[in-house]
Amino acid sequence: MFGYYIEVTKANLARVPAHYIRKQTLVNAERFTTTELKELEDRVTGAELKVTTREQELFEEICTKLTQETPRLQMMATVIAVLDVLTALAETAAINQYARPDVNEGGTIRITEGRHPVVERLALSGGFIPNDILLDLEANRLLIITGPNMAGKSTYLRQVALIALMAQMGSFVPARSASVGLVDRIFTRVGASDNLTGGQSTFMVEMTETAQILNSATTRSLILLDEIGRGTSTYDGLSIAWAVAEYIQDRRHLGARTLFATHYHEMTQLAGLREGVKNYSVSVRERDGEVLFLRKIVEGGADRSYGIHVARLAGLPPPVLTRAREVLAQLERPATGVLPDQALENEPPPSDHTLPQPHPIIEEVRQMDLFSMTPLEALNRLAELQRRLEDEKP
Amino acid sequence: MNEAELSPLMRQYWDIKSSYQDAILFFRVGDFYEMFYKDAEVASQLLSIALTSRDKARAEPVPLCGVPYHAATGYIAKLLKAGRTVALCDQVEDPQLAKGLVRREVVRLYTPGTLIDTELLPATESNFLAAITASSRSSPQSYSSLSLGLAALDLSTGEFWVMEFQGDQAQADLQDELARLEPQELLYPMTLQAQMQPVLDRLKNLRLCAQEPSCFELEAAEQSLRKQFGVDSLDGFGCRGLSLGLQAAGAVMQYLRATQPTACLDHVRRLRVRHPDHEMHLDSVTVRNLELIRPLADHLAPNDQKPPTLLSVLNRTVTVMGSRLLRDWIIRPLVKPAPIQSRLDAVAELVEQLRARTGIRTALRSVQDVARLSSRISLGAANPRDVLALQQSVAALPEIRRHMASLRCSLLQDLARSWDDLADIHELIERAILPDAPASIRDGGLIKNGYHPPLDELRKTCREGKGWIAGLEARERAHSGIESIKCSAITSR
Repeated sequence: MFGYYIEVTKANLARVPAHYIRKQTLVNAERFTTTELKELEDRVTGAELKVTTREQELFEEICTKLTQETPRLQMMATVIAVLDVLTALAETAAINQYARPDVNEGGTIRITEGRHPVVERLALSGGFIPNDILLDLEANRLLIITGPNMAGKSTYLRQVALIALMAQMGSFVPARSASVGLVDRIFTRVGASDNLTGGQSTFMVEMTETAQILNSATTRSLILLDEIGRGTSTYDGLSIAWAVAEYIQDRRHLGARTLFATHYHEMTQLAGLREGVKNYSVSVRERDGEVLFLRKIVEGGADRSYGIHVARLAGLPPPVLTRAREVLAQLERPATGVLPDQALENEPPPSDHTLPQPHPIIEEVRQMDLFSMTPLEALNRLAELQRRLEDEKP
Repeated sequence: MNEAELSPLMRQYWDIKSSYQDAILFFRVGDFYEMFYKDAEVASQLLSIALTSRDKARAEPVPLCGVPYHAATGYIAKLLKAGRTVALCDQVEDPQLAKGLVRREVVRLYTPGTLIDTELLPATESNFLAAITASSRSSPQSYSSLSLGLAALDLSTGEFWVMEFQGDQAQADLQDELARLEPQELLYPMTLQAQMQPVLDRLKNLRLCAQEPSCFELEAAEQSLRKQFGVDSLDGFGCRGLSLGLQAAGAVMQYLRATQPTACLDHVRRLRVRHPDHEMHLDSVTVRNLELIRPLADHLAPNDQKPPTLLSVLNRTVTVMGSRLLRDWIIRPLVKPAPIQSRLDAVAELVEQLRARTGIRTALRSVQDVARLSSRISLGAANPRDVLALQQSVAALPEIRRHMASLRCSLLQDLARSWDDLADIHELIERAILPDAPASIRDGGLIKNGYHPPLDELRKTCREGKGWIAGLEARERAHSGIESIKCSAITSR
C-alpha cells in the first residue's frame, strides 16, 4: 500500500463525496483516493523513481569517466607512496638521531657507536650502550664473539644486520657514523634453545637452516650465527660450530663477513690458527667481587671463568663453585680429558656461612636483562626463582 | 533428488550451484542472500544465524538460511576468515521487468587472494594472489635444479609482477620470496603437486589452489596478457624469454576471469619484471629472527601491545599507501649503489628541510588510499563515499606540490616531474557529487543540482507535485465539509 491518500475518520464516513475511491480501512478511519489524486501520485512517484534511476546512471557515468583516468591515478598513488616513505624516513631519522650511512661497493662495514633500532626504543633514555664494529673482506672477516649469555651478544649481532639492511633500503641508521660495503644477502641463525619451534627436532631445524646458509651465501653476504651448535651435546656442538666457522672463513668456500657469537670458549683458538678471524668479547668489570656486564664489545676473547662468576651470582652453593674452579683448572691443562678424581663430599665445609650476604636471588633479579628477554622467558625465570625460594624453605 | 519436483527457482539454483561446488553460494532472493542445503548448514554454524527450511510441508524440506543483502559483506568476511569462499549470485535483470523467473548469475567469487573491499582488507598490508610453476623439462629426480616462475597480483591496487628463479638454489629462493610476499592465495599446476610439496608444506595462512595444467599454457597465457594490456607484444614489459613467469601470470589472469566474471579489469595495466639479483636476498628465517615485520613473541602479546619491530619503529608514514610501500622497502633492500644513494639523498634533504617535510606530511594526512579507491572505481565497486574520498585526496595535491618546490635532489625532482594535480578529477567530483552523499546509490541523493539539467527538471516535478498535494487537504476540507480530513502519503517501502 503505497502512495497518497485522503483520510477520513469513521464518524465522518457518511459525508464522504461519491467520487472518493476506497483504498484502505484502518481501525478508526478509512483512506480514499480520487482519480485526480491517483494521476498526480503516478506523476510524482514516477518522477521520484526517475530521479533515483537517473542519479544512479549519472554516478556510473562519473565512475566511467574516472576509470579512464586510472593510469594517472595509479601514477599519483605511486608518487605519493614514495614521497610519504621518504618523508617518514627523514622524520624518523631526525627524531631518533640517525646518521646518513655511506653505502659503497667496498667490502668494509665500519660502524661507530651503532645502536639496535628497536631495543634502543625500549631502553630508558641513555640506557642503551652503543657499540662499534669493523668487518671487512680481509683481516676482519670472521669475528668470534664470546661472553656469557644475557650479556648482549644477540642484540649486538642483530644491530649490525639491521644497520646494514636499513642503509641499503635507503634509510639513515642508528649510529654516530656508518660505512656499509654492499651486502647481497643477510643470514641470521639462532641456536636451538632460543627458538620456539615445535615438532621437528630443534637441532635438526638448526642444522637445516645452517646448511641453507652454507649453500646459498656468497662472499658478499653478511652472516650472523648466534650460538650455533647449542642444540646438541657439548662436543658435538663445538665441533660443528668449529667446522662451520672454518668453512665460512675459507675464501675458497665463502670468505663472507661473519659474526659468530658463541659460549664455546674453545672457538677463540680459531683466531690463532686461521687468517681473517678476530676475537671479540663482551666486556665485564668486577667490582667488590661482583661481575658487571657492560654490554660493550671489545677486542679479545672472554675470560672463561666468568661463567663461574655468573654461577655464583645465580646462588650456586659455595662447595659447587669451588669444585667448578678445580674442574676448570684441570680441563685447561693441555691433553687432559680425565676429570680430577677428588670427590665433592670430601671438601671441608665452607666457613663463611655466618657472614651476612645479600640474597643471591635479589642479586640475580638485579642483573636480569629485561630488554633482551621475551615475556615468556621472563615468566619462566620468575617461575624458576619462585621455585628456588620454595626449595630454600627449611 | 527428483528434478521434476523442484520449483523453477530451485532448478535455477542447482544450475548455478553445480558450477560452484566448492564455494558457499549466496543466492539473491528479494532483499536476502539465501543459502540452501549443505551451504545453509555450514553457513548457519559459521555465521551463528538461524537455520530454517523451505517447503516445510514436504517430506524432505530444504535447509535454508539467509542474510540481508545490504549486510552481506560482513558475513562474507566471516566465511572467508573460516577458510571458505563465497559465490555471490545476483538478480541480473529488473524483477519488475522480468518475464517469469528473474535471471540470476554469479557476479563475483570471493576468495582471499582476489579481494578489493575496504571492509575485507587490512589497510596497511598488500593482498597478493600468486601463482607458481616449474619448467616441464626437469624430472622429479632433479628438482633441485628446477627453473621456477612466480607471478603475483594485488587486485586491490593493480600491482602485478613476475619473477623467475634458476639454478640449484631456485627452490629455496622461491620459498624465501613467498615467505616475504605472504600471498593470501597460491595457484600451482596440480601435475607439480609432488615436486612442489616441499615448498607448499612450509607455507602457512594461505589458500592453496591446485589448477589444471592447461591454465599454465604459455601460448594462452601470452594471448590473455596481450589482450589484458592491449598490446601486440609483451616484450615492452621486459618479459622476453620469461616463459615460466608468463605462464604463472597467465594462470593468475585466468583465475581472475573466473572469480570476477563480470568485472572490467582495466586497472591491471602492466606487468613488472622483478629480478632476484636486484634486491637483497633475505630468507624467511632471517626476516623472522631480525623481527623486521613481526615480533618473535607475536603470539604471546595481546593485540594492542605487540612488541615493536623494525617496521613499527620506522613507520612514521601518514598514508596507508606509504605504509604498504615501507614494508616492501624493508623486506627488499637494494643492492645497487645508485638507487640507494638517490633514496639517501632524498632522505637527507628532507631531514634538512624541516619546513618542507612538515608541510608535506601535514598535507599528506588527508590523502586516502588512492590506489585502492582507483581500483574499486575501475572495478565498478565504488560507492559515493569512495568517490568523495578520492576528491578529498586529490584536493591535497596542489599544496603538497608547492611544498616540494624547494627540494633539489634528483629523486624528489623526479617525483615532482611526474606530478599531476588531477585538477580535472577534483573539478568533476566537486561539480557532480553532494558532499554528504550516502554510502549507497540505492536511494539517490548523491548528485548535485546543476550538474545535469534534466535531473534538475525531474526534481522540480517531484517538488511541485508534493506542493500540490499539500494544498489538497485544504481544498478537500472545503469541498466535502469534513473538517478532520487529512491528506498524506505512505512513502516507506
